[in-house]
Order: sequence, then C-alpha cells, then structure tokens
Amino acid sequence: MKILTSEDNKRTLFIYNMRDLCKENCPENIVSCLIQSSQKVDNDCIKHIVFSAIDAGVVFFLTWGDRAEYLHDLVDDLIENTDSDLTHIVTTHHEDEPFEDVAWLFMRSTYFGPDKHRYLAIFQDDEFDRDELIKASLLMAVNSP
Amino acid sequence: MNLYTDPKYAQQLFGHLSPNESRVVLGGSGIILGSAVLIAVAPEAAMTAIAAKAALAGKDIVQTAEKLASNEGRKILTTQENRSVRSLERQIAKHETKIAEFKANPTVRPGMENMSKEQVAAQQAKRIEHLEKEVKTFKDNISKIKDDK
Repeated sequence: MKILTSEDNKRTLFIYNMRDLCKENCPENIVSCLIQSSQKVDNDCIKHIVFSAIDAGVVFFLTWGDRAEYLHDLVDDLIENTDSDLTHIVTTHHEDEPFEDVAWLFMRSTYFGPDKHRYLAIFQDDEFDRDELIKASLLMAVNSP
Repeated sequence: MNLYTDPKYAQQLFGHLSPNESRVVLGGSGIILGSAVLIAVAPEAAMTAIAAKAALAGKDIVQTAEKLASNEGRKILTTQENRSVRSLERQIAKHETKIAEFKANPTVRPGMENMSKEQVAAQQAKRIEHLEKEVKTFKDNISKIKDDK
C-alpha cells in the first residue's frame, strides 16, 4: 500500500494492489474509489472490496481499464441486490478515456465537501508501479492547486 | 443582478470606451444601455462579444468580465475541469441509455428465478431508481464544477 498526500494536506490517496485488499479492510473515511481492471477479476474479492469500501464511506466508484464496464456492472449488481438501500452510491466506467482525465475526475470532481478528502485507488497486477503515466496522473490530481 | 442587463456593469465594461468603440451589437433579444451599448441577454453570446471587444480594448476589460462572471457564480474552466464535465456528460448519456434499455426490456438476474412477481418488480424498480439517482449526481457535479462550489 502507498499513500500520496497533497502539500496542504487536503487530499490523501491510498493506493493498493487488488490482491492485497481481497481480505483486508479499506482505510476509513474514504469518499471515492477508483478500481483499475484489465483482466478477469475474482468476484468474491470484488464483493469484499466493494462492501468494505462502502463501510469506509465510499459514495462514488469509478472503474477504468479494458474490463471497466464489466467491473462496473458487477459493482452495480452488488449495490442493487442487498437488503440495504445503497442506491445513493454512484458508479461510472471509463474504459475509453485517458487515465489522466479519469484521475482528475476521480480526485477533483466526484466529491465537493468542505473537509479533507481521502481517496482509494486499486490496481490489478502492480499497474501503479509499472506505469509511469498512471503515477504521474495521480500525482498531478493530488497536488495541483 | 444581471450582469448583462444592468447599466452599472455595462458602464464598468465599456465606460472607458467612446460610444462608437463600445457599440456592440449582438443577435437575439437584448436591451439598450444608455445610448451606446446593446448587449444580448444570452450570457454566452455576451461573453463572446466582451472577449472580442477586449481584443481591441486591451486586457483590462477581460479581467473585469472574468471578475463579474465570477461574481455571477460562473467561472472560466480549466482544461481538466472541461474534461471532467465532458466525462460526466458521457456518463449521463451512458446511464440514460441503460435506463431506456432496462425500461424497454427489464431483465431478471440469475438467482431471481424463484422470487415472487412483487419481489422481482421491487428489484427492477430499485435498478431504475439507482440509475436515475446516478444521472442526477452527474448533473449536480457538473453544476458544482462550473460554479466552483
């Protein structure tokens, strides 16, 4: 797990590999969650992540990558098939958009509350460590004034 | 206060120009401010005209226009903010398509085969409610980006 924090301390981003969150709980007080998926996902792992994230406060899920729409529909299924009313939780999929734009949307345009914001980004297969563009895009979204 | 129809603000925008210089004529409905300036009520058209006039009058007028636009709750969006707006607009289109398709052909998910008709109907209503709330959130977020709230 890695943590990026803006200089003014207003935005904190937690970055996980998906496999590491399959059994752990998400950090607390998160507002938005971005999940990257380019390969088949373990449905049980996604179920654990989604409900753990909702327990942590997430109200906005974004998916990105080749399998973003599949993952989005999976998250929708989970949200809509519980006894609790979770219809206030928003989900989006961005398989056809540059990561730079999705990163900005994720950290700057999904939550507008006045407090300090904490975000969660989850990547399959160490994508964050392998892709410099992903790293640079998230750094910019965290640090830009 | 309406930036585009209030003589006080027209004076701020065009007061240092001669009547001929400040004669801005735009299409659409508008009102005459004093004897010199006709400003369209449509905000976008007015802003375009103000920006065009600024090319002649210098950057002071642009700064005034931006300040006044900001006072109106509007702001000049950055490239990234514009991209966020477009991305949210794409999500609105995608989700509205999902709503239309689901209403036209409500599906029964695996595991719902043994549910009663009432339970299936409730589940399908929940699906539509979820999609509609999402569309509303996307629209609200676009407004917040544009208003900088």
